[in-house]
Amino acid sequence: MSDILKSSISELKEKLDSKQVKPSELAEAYLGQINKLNSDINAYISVNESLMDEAKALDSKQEKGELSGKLAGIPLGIKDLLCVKGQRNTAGSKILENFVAPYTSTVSQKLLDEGALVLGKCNLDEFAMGSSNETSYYGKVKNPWNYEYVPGGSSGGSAAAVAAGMAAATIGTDTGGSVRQPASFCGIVGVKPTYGRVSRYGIVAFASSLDQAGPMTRTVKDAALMSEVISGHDPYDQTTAQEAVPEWSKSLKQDLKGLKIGLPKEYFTDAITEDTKKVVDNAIEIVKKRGAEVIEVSLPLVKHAVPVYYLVATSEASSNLSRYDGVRYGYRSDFSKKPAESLEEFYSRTRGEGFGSEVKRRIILGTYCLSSGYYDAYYKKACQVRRLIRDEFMQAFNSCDVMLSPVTTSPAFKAGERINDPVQMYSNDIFTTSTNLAGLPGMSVPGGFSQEGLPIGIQLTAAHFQEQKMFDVAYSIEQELQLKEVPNVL
Amino acid sequence: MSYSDWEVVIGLEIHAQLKTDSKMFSEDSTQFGGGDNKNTSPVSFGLPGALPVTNEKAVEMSVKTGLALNCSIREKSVFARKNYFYPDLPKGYQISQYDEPICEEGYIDILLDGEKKRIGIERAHMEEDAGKSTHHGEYTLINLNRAGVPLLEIVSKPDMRSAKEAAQYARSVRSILRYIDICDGNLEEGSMRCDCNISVRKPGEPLGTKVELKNINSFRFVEKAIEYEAQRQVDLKEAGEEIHQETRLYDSTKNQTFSMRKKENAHDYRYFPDPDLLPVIVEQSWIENIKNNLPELPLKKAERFQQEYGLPEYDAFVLTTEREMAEYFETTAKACGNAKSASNWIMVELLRRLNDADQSIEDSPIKADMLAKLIQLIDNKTISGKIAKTVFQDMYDSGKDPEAIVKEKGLTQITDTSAIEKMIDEIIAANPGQVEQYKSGKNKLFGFFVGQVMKASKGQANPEMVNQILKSKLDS
Amino acid sequence: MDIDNVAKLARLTLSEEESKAFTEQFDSILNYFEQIKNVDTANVEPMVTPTDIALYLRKDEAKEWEGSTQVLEAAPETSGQLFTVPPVV
Repeated sequence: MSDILKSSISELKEKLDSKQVKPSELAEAYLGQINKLNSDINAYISVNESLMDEAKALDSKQEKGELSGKLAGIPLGIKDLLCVKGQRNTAGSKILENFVAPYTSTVSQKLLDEGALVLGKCNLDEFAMGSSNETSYYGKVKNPWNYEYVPGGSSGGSAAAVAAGMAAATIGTDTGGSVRQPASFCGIVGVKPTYGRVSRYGIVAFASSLDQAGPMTRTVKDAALMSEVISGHDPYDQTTAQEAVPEWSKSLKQDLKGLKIGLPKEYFTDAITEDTKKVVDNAIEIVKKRGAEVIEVSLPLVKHAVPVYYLVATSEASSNLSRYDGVRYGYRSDFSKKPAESLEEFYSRTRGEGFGSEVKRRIILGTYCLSSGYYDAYYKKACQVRRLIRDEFMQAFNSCDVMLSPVTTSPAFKAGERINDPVQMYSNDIFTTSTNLAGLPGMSVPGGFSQEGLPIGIQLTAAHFQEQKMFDVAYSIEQELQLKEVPNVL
Repeated sequence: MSYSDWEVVIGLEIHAQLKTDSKMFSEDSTQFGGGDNKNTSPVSFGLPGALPVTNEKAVEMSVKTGLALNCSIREKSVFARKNYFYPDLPKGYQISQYDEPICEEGYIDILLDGEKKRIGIERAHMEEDAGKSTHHGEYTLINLNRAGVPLLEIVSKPDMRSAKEAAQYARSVRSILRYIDICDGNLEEGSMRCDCNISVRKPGEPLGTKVELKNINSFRFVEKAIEYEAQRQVDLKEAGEEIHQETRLYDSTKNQTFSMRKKENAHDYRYFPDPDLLPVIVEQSWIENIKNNLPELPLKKAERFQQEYGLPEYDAFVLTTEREMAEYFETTAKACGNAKSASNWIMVELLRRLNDADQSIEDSPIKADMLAKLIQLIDNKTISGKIAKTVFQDMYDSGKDPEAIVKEKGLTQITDTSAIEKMIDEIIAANPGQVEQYKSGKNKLFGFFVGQVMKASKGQANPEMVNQILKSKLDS
Repeated sequence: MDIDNVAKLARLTLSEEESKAFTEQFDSILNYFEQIKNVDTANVEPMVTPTDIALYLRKDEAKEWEGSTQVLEAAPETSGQLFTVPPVV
């Protein structure tokens, strides 16, 4: 059975199609792993109570040979930001503790339409605000490779679940690196598609112009397949593009001849640890070996990416989170013993009690940046620099096809190490935020390990809507490395 | 009202609910009458993860309105979030337009006491309506049926100088909005809302502190509220006091404005472009097409009626207030060729009955072509004007064709000279005393004889002929 | 930054620890943000959506959503089919 838990979606599909395993057996296996590990790892906030019923219904379909859909019978974890009708959707917050989604997000619906099963909702930093999954109201998530370490964030639960065999794959969301960084820390593949590829309808908004949902998987092919399934124009989200979605998983190449790979020199700094440097250097050799031409590119403006990111993200978030007020759903403070003395107090107490500190910190920052007198200097200025950053990337993509870089300066850090210094915590995002600012597609693919045995990922970034090239490079690296290590818990 | 030598400066903000089938940013119905919180969806509830998507028709109607108000249309306009907290505002922000509104720099001409005045329009922008909060005891109850309904906010320039002008401007805008069929313009029901901004100053001086008036739900109240407020401000200034910038509510029962109970701090709305929505791009060709398909607007139509049909200004004005009324008049006038008569019948007889029954011209039991027929019957002397009035009533009650009624009731006018002569001779013979009195100077008795002839003829004798023949016989 | 004022604008009560921590941290955070002032952005149009996306407008067709009842049933407090906000003293 542990073979099952180490299998990719492709392998599982084969087993299901050839009837070697039943959907209910598959679901049971993952459910078993969740029951075994979740009290330690805490990757899931809630588990789908109808899972076995749904899986058994697929058993009969399998018998009749009617298992159809690109993900038929595949059990997935969904970050607890994406609404699935009938399941809780907490956003990792107390303020939505009792909220059950009355509708399904477009991404989840697309997965369900392809026959996938929902195992449960994965833990995350509260409202996706964090890089270590230490701010969730439902407890920290542990890195399956070493419980003392963080899994990364904000999609820490989604990443840990895949790494620990608690799901065949999961969906996370990436606003400033929240899929790529935990994927790197947990030794799995994580993709952030081009902004506009994937619908945000039904996904709790953090920063509207930055958020994109993306797959977290064991293999590049799985990631490409899931990306295909979740991408596409959605009439319920005006910010989705009408670009056709290619069948990325079917066209994966290992031969990189003719491809130019750019190394942004601003990403290769002294801040990078030795281990990370080794892993990245190795990846560079691999792509050369596979026929790619490697050149240096320069992106001077990326040094401003983190402040620009935080200015834009907190501003948008401060507005997006205004709807959590205890009027129509979610947590409401107890006014029975001590009534509010003003409408303002009604709101402030509910929100003050319902939100965690990091969320409040960001709301206050964002509110300040948008407020009268500061708008021009902060929010508007950030939007101008953002355009310049994007233009700089677009210019650089005239001389290369895919950029290769570290995902973070180091592997996972220990829990509690960075949580009290916001500036240090925010600097974690240094290599990933500019991708979101520019709306580009990016991904993390496992590249090796540190001396302590912690995973280190390689980041790949492509031009708008050019995911195929990024997948190809990741695929080559993966096929060359053939990394077989798994955490002991798997 | 006189304000000694103070000048009253007035600007109006009109919110018009657009007549779309679905809401501004979601598919919920805008139909009245559903249960509480039934015209809703994840978007209008402000649920986690919900997103807005712009209604194409609302954009079209906004462009149409801007053109009818002589505005320039922005090819690229942007939606912005207006952030504030209130229970009937589900997202904690209203999607509106701030820096880049869809319509700008327009004007309309209004007619007041025979004078034309041009009132400038600063801008018109799209936004979504909030829900409704009502108070029940100490609780506040929230209904989100209205949340998200498309609004067009039309902001005038502070060009009005009297309460009358302001009310007339509001009426004229309403008329235009109904002409182009984008809004019902019903102040009482709230499909059109009118907020007034008033300040006072000595002529030539810079603008005074402006006060916003809300809760005005009829045109009459627009006038009264402004009158009250202007006087209040003048009185304060004369007493050497300052005007506070604030929002005041109009109380129609007391005919007063009063300060809103809660202290309203100046809001910091933290406007920023809504990242969930793309800028609205309207192509020049689309704008041209809408412009070419605009109907003839009220003022132009009134001017044309005066020229083409020789109507007096007042009549033209009344007949063109509502598009349906104007069309009714024109159909009638063209069919019978007697515009003056058509105008009289509509304004005097028809309108009175419709108003009493609280009906609109579309509900009129007498259709335009039937009224035209009636007028023709008078003009070709088949019936007299007096008889026509009874025929009219019959038509109103039964919806029947006038010719049929005249035939059925044998109301055809008697124009046969010899028949009338015969009748008159009989009456003269039967009333020798009155004839004597008349001949000795009691001219008023003429009416008696006319009455007798009409009675004998059951009202059907042609009055002019009766007068003429009677006079010639009596005076001889 | 006047934390209390901004917290009020954002309708958030802060615990004493939060208030203290934020006051200390915001200076360094805002300093960190200051660096972008040095970027030359003369004549640069601010950017909101980072990708070129064609405008999609929705056709004006009303559709009913069956989930309204569920939302009302799960609401913190209702009176009939209306949301209620408790009395404010």
